Amino acid sequence: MKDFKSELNRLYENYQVDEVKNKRLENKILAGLEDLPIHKKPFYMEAKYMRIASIFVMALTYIIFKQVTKNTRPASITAKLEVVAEGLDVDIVAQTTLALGAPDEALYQNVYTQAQHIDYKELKDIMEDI
Amino acid sequence: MKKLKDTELVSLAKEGNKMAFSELVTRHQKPLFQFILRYMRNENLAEDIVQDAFIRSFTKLHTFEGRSAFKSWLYRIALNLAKNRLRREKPTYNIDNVHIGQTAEAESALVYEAIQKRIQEEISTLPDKQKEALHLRVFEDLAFKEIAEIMDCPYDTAKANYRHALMKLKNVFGEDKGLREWLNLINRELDILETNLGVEL
Repeated sequence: MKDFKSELNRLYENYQVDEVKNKRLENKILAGLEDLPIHKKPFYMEAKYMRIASIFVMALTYIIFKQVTKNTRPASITAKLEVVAEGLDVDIVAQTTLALGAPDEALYQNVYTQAQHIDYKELKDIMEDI
Repeated sequence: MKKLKDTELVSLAKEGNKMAFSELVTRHQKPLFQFILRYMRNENLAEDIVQDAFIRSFTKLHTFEGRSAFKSWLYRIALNLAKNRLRREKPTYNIDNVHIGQTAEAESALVYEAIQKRIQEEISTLPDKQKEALHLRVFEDLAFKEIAEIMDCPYDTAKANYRHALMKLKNVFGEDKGLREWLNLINRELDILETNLGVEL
């Protein structure tokens, strides 16, 4: 007896993968992957970016803390973060904030680890600037 | 490598083993290409999507936590790419008219071709979620549990999307005398869904 699924499969036989084209695509994919660095972690997993990310997170926490508890005059968090950014390696700040905008579990863990190794004086200077 | 499970290959690939990822490509590339080709109905676009999906899965492998099967994750990436691409491209398909004055055999072939194009066209215009559920169910013959994994939604939602797709096609086919046989097939498929409530399909 005919059934919907098998009949619909038959109706799509004009979209059947051609073996030659399929093999060509497979080779193309495999060749493309050769050039990709699978072992390389994303840039934001590297220590130098993590240091920046950690400072950002801590500075942000500090700004929010000050805003909420000390009732300081309102100023946008973005503007204050720009102050923080000026004290850091500007070239990589944009990439770091991008990574922070789309964090994953690995990023949280790395920020946490690296946050414990932030230079105390550096953090103090940044927070005093804020 | 060929004897290893996907989960084992993924672990090796995460450690930088390219042979492991190559095996994943060899294992999943053809069915994925077939699936995306039917979804997009354009060979060149389907090739691009499949290649892009593997590159993305390769470079984002560190974010794959194994909560779903690798295949589901890969299909999800490819489907998202395909949807975005279709939204940009909005391809148009010409439905040829049946010509008069052919031999009976040729005429029958033309009628079949017209029906084929008509149905494919109707399916291509289904809402994204319904179309995905229908393609995964019909062409990949997946259980709703796997469909839910790929579509990143609850089991019942995956099933409901498939059912809604069938209902929509039923309404369209019901208005066309030439598609009466298809209406019966859809009704039987809906019966299967409705008589198996509470059973994992």
